[in-house]
Amino acid sequence: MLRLGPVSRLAKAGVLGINSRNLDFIISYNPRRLYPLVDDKVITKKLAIEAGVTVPELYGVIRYGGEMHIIEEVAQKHRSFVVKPSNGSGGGGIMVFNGVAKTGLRRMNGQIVPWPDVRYHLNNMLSGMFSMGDGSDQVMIEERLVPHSAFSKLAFGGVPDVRVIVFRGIPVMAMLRLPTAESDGKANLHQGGIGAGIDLVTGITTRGVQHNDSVDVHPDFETPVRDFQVPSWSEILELASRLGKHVGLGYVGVDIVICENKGPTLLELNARPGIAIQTANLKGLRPLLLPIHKLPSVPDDVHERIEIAHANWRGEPLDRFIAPGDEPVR
Amino acid sequence: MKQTQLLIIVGALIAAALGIFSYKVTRLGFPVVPNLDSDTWTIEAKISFRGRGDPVTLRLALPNSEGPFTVVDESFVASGFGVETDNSEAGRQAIFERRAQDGSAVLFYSAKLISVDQRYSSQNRPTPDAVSDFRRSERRRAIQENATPLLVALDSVLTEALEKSAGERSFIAQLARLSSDEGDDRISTIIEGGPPEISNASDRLVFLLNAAGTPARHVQGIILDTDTRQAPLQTWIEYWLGDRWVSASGTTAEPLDDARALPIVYDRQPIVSGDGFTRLGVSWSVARNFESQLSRALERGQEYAPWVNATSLLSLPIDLQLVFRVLLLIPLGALIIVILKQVIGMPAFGTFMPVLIALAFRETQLITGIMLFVGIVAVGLLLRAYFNQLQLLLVPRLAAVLIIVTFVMMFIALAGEAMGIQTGLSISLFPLVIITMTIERMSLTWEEDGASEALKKAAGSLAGAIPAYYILTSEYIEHIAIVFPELLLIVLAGVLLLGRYTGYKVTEYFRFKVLANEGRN
Repeated sequence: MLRLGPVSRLAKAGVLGINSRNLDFIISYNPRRLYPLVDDKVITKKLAIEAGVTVPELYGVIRYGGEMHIIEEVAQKHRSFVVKPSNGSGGGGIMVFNGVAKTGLRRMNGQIVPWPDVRYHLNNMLSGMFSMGDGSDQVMIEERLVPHSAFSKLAFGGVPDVRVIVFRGIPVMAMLRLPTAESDGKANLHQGGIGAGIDLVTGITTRGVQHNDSVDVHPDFETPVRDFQVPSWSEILELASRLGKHVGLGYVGVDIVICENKGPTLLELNARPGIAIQTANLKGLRPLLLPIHKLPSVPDDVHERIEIAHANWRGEPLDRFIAPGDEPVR
Repeated sequence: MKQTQLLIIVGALIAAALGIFSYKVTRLGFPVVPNLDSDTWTIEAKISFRGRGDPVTLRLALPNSEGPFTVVDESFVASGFGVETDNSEAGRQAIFERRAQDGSAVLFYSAKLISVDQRYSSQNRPTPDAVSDFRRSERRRAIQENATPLLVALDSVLTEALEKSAGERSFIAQLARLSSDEGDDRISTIIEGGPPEISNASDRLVFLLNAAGTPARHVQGIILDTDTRQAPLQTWIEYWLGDRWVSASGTTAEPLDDARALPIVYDRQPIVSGDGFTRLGVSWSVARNFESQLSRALERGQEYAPWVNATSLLSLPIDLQLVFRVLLLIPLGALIIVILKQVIGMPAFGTFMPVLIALAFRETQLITGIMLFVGIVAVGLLLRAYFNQLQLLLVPRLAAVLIIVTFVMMFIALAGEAMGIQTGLSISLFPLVIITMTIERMSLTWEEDGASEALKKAAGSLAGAIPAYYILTSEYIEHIAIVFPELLLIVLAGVLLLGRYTGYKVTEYFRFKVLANEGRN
């Protein structure tokens, strides 16, 4: 064991590093064959519907360059929608439109994207430019989710979402991701979005970070980002826990958007959720993951799992959740 | 379980690598560093002359394989000349011929010489005859019949040397000592009365040795000492001692290092002869080869452990060897990448991009490489941005960038040539593809994550390429890799071990500093 100062300090804080995340959790708990379930958002959507989870409505799928007319049909019918690569990663390629003009489609910031540019962008998506792996991809056209009104002074130009890390079907940590002017309406942290740690039991934000620096207020609205009660928190936990268990991946990130009218809605699943959530919560993941790793089995009932999640978050020992006769995993 | 398996594999790999390595080093004497105790050499003769428009015949004396060196890989560069080699009594010769030569011409001859340890040479050569009209038996008879002062002086010198010596070797040394003393009356008698060609001390020694019945001859050749473009022709003598010719100094008869003295012509034969030319100039250059001890080790391996030679890359043809010289370094580059990515956490484009960039730099040198790389990538980025405005599809756009990069490289090469800048620029297919891929990846990152992220990754890729470049161009590492490819098993073991590394990356210490500080409070 290395005993260097910073090493032991990080370890003491229970920080989960990328190497450890990959080896100890992703390789061990996420069978490779299940990756397509989360990497392909069309499949994820079917799976979520099976699990009884609310999803954004799918307006259409463009598979080939020749199906470009679909975008025009959808635009005429729904006016407000999102296009995204089915196998996209990190939010790449996603474009949100909320209106149709004669010359093109209107983006959230009012800018009109001319039709040729739209088609070019979709073609780039089809050729796999924003996708994991290589080769081609398909474009999904989805309902544009309208965020809950509670976020009106917290999300700039985009849709905020909640990321829940679910381990063996048990939520272990969560954060609220808020888009900013800097992140161009995207909620991704590495693009300048704000990440706010959430108390897993109460659903109240504890602190915010932007670019790894602690922030107390949203830079665009000056509204505080801490002590904010995330709406429908218990439903969010239930959705995450239910889907995390159903999809079969042991270690998964569930991204949820809280909609004004539909309530918590699944945005996407992530088989390799990032580790920045630890900075947002000022808490290492490792001490939360290890007790669950030691559980011999996990209950099938979603409410029992959430009970475990609460106890785990409070730092209580999980011995009482081990069924008699079961030996804890070493 | 996985851990134990891995440790067993790693242990086995390291043990195998070290085992083969130490056997090759200690038993077969494979050199661990290049250029160690070298005894193979490349010599090159450059013959320049002017022709008068007449037929030219030029004979160049060549070293032969019968002496202390084996001559291999001979080659001639003589455009317009017919070349043939000839093995006559006078020695080996190359004969260059041309029907008419007007103006100056330059001919080249080069050969690789491998020093042969004559003690182990299995050939039994017949003892040559001593060439002298004054040999012992005739001398005795001649003195009885007609005691000329020359014969008496000769006999006296030889008898004194014989009396003062214990064996053949010390007899020669005594003879050399006596012969060099020109104040001695007997020696001056020999100088005056002897054959006219005895003009200096070494000629005299050859004459005396032959008179004593020890075959000796006069040698002109090159002392292989250091790499030089102007190796002087030197003279020394050879005498027959035991069962071989010994090269020795002409004045003291002190033996020379056999592995260094390359004889070219004997008995005052000319190095270059022929007719039809004027203003002859001959210069010899000498270069030491690196694989010297290696070839000796290979010889030894042939005897003791044929499997070593059979599995050695050095048995491959030289052009394939050259390929492997680069290929074998790629595992090391991969190790660097693994360390940079898993342990340090350096941002970079793609997985192996830094190593590929380093390979591209290998062909251009580092500084030129970095400048070219930055320049070409910048031009490429601009063009790619323009192509993006034209709304081209992904693959055709990549192809267009590739074509433009080709042109940029072409113009740089032409401009460099026109301005007389020798960049040492040898652009091959490889850098072309690498640079194109870099441009595409960089512009994507630029669009999606912003300029700072793209520049950070570009800097990371370059920063990774620099250590990789030094490893990929190190002469020592290249030598080790091609002579001891088994050591790459250790690299494999290291990579496997790092494959189970669950510790923090160096960058994570900075990223989670706030958490670490929290843990301390």
